[in-house]
Amino acid sequence: MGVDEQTGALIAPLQQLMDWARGHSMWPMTFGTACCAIEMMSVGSPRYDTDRFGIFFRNSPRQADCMIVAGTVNLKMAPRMKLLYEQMAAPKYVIAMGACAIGGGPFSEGYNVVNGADLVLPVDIYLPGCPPRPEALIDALLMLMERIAAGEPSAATRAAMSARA
Amino acid sequence: MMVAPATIVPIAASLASLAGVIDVRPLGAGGIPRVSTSAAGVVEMLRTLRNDHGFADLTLLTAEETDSSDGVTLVYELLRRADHSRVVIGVDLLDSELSAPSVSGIWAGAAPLEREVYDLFGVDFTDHPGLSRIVLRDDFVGHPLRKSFVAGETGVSAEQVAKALESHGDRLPGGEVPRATASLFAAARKPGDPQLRSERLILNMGPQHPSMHGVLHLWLALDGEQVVAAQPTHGYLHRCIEKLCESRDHRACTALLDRCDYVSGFHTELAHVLAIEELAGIESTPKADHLRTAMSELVRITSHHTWYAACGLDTGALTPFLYAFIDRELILDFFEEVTGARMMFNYFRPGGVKDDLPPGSAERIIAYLKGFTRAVDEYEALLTDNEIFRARTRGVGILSRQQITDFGVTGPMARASGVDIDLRRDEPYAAYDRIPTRVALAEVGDSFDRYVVRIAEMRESARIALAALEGLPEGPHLNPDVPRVIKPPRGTAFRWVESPRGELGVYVVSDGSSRPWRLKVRSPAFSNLHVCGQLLQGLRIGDVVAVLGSVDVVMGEIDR
Amino acid sequence: MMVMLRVLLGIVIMIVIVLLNTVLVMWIERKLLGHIQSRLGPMRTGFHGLLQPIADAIKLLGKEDLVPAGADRILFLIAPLIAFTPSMLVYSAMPWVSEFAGMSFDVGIFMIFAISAMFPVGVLVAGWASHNKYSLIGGFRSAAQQISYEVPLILAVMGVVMLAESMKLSAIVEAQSNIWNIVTQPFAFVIFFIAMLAELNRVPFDMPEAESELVAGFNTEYSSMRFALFFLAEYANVFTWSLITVLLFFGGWAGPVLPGVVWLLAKTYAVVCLIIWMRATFPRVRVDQLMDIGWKILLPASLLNVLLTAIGVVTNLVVLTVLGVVATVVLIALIARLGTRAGDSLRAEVRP
Repeated sequence: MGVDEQTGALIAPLQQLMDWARGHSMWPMTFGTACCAIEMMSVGSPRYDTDRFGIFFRNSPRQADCMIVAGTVNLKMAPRMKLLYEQMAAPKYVIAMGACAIGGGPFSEGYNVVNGADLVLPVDIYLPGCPPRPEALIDALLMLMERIAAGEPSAATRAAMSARA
Repeated sequence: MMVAPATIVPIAASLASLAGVIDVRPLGAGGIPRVSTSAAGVVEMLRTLRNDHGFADLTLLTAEETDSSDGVTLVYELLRRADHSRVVIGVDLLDSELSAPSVSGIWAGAAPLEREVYDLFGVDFTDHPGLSRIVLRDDFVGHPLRKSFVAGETGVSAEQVAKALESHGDRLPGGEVPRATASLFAAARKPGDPQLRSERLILNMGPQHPSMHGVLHLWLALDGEQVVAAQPTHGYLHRCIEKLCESRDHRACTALLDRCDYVSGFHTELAHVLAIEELAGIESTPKADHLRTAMSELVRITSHHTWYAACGLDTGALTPFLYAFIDRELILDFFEEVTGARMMFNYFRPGGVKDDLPPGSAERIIAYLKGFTRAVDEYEALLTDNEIFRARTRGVGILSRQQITDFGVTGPMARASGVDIDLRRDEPYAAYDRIPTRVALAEVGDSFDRYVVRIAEMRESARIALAALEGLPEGPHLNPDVPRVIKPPRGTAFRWVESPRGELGVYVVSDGSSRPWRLKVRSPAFSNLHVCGQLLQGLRIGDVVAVLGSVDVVMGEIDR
Repeated sequence: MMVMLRVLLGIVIMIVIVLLNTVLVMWIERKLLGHIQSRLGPMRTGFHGLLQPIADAIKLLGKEDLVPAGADRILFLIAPLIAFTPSMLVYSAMPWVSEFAGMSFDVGIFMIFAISAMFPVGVLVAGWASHNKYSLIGGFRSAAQQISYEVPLILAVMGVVMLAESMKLSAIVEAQSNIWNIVTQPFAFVIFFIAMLAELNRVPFDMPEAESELVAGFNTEYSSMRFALFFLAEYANVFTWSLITVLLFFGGWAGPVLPGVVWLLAKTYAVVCLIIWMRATFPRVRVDQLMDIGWKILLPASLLNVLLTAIGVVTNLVVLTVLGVVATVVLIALIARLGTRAGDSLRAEVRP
């Protein structure tokens, strides 16, 4: 990211180490709003056990790497969600879990439902389903981790870069 | 058909002699008498019914738009537990004078219900202790359940989102404190000992907090670790389900109602399906009744699994969560086998159930249920006999019988205080009249008693589900006479089921079309949550989460 | 000059060894918790997830270092250091380390208590400086807990010191060459272990963090490496106190056939596993119950232990053992009584 060649040669191995670490340690925030949150709880259960992959839920947004928007976001919740996202430390990622977080889902015509988390936050991964199965959530998290390990920037970084360009 | 018809006539006769009665007629086909009265006389009538006629429980307080859309009808439903007779009181209000006296002086739990009616219908309640919006934002414009309110093709507009995002945290854009909690703020600001300059701490628990069961928001005024005042605030999951149902076919509503109480979807489905069957005069088949019973009980077990997991986590024990979820997954496998979904079943239909059991399914579920008590023994070994857990829960958050009637608390929470109510036994539906239900009761009504009652219910549910499947009758799973499009005649139906959280009711008003004119879900968790404002006072922070864990709230059902 | 170099080298080696052990403790915790909860725990990062704590640490180093608006900036920034430093510094009083560095404390155990008492100061500072109510409550809880449990902790060790007639750790270990202190001082061990769990903020006394109550307690507002420092300090303390338990009660490095260091580590990790097992089993006590146990039960019990030890020293050790076992049974019964009410049942009545 904007590093010139010489320093790049020095930094590259460090960057690789960092990417490896980020790609192997993912702490999502326990942020469940609706039905999907129950499936999000299930991924920690013995059958799915995300701990195997280094996925470990943290309660405090400050220590989390990724926000799983698990469920419907409404007008009352949206500012809270934005605040929580802003409290997270960069690099941070967002997974929109379930139909509601992608586009309002079955409630999209409602008078109080924000039609998608991406109206509020930059979303990295869209995970369809109503609610998605725990396997699907694990797949989404692993996909995110693979991307990070490959050195891809987060959606927030991309948005900031394109805004600058 | 479930309320014994013989009881209607004497009640109706005595109702007609009450002061202020405009007329008495049966409500729909259910045989419940409906009394019309004026706004001025409603408080007096409800007080008379409560004090002199034994109708002690306010089970429903809601509103519906009048047929001609020129006003709003307030609907109160009262229940007399002695003979389980119900009475509905309707109060017609015209748009020109959309105001009624508050009944929160009779039932304290009516106050949040009236706030909901104010929020969604715009009815002004006089003498209300703190009338303000409850599920919607304070700056929301309009009252969405009125037919004149149109949300627009795509729902919420981008401007609305942008405006909402301007307000951060608890305060509105102007820095103003939300009206609902203003009185709490004032109470907490009172100085303590004048010699010792001390301040109370206002702690916002939630909406994002590991123990708030989703998106509950608790305002706590703290004196050190001790709670001086508490108020639950919700609405962070209000998804307009009741309004959206009004533009859907009766059968399509099931999909939305599944997402209402997402931990035990079958119960909301069942109440709705029973109401539609009553409205349209459809009979269910015996096999479907048994399947409905078995599935309801299985989902009660998984719901209690989720509660047990949260209950452990809230008191600081990690392992119960994981043990409960092992068995929960096994039962979800059965749901997947039978309905095709893990949580959002969409399985019950007017007239029966969507699909028959796949081959071998009944045997597999029966084999599992026969060994299920071993799993419960394991849960008990983890928590019941644990000294710290007992020390944390016994004598904490004791719910009195007075609070239970005042707030309309039902389900395991009421039974833990020794109130012997259970609709499965008292007003049997589906196949519960054929399978006797035993009711688990405790005495003290503290967190621990709520715990033991639910543990006993898990064993009991397994027994009922087992009996329902073992006695599964032959025959069709769906009544073949159900029309393709269900157009119930004009009328109202109100049906109740015993959900894992208490008495869940679905109130449907039909205007003769294939869509409901009004659909209301009476949420047991709503009442159970609002009693917490009193229940949490004087407790310590650690107990707040432990008591909430024992209340078992599901925000999807509370906010709808 | 040579002395200085020796000291520096000692420090570096010590820190590396301690940090490696800390990482191992983290890994064991996740694996053991996993297996107790019928899961696997970390599997993918390194052999059976061995590199998982390292990946976590490196990742945390690369995160944004946030200071909340309204925080007391300076205190906020140094609090993790206040918490982390003592967890390394205690090792200066460990027998082999101080001997390697050419100095030896005659009051080693006293020194260890003095240094480790600094950790909650870091926690309190963090809670105060964070400008967050959860952090503040966590910090206050930590201070209260520390004051309540330090006293029984030290008094429990008094019994051991009386038997060894020395406060020097190596002397305490040597005094156990015939018989381990766990046999002669079972009462002291139980008090020490309970108080130690409280000192370590471990379940059932994890009040300052109390995930389900206070989100993440005192470290709610900490991100990146500052959070990592708290995290490391806590796990380093787990290792340190397990080591001290072994030195005080389980004969230190004594053991047949195998070299002393193997015995020492094996015993230490056994205690670490015991602490983790506690976490997998127990719920959390409440703040007032924590104080009850500390002041009303453990403090008198630890005073009683000093008395019993004195009786044992003037009579003989068999008497001491018997007295200790009796007292232990009474103590456990007292604590277990916390959750009982007279004459009621633990089951709901099922009525037809």
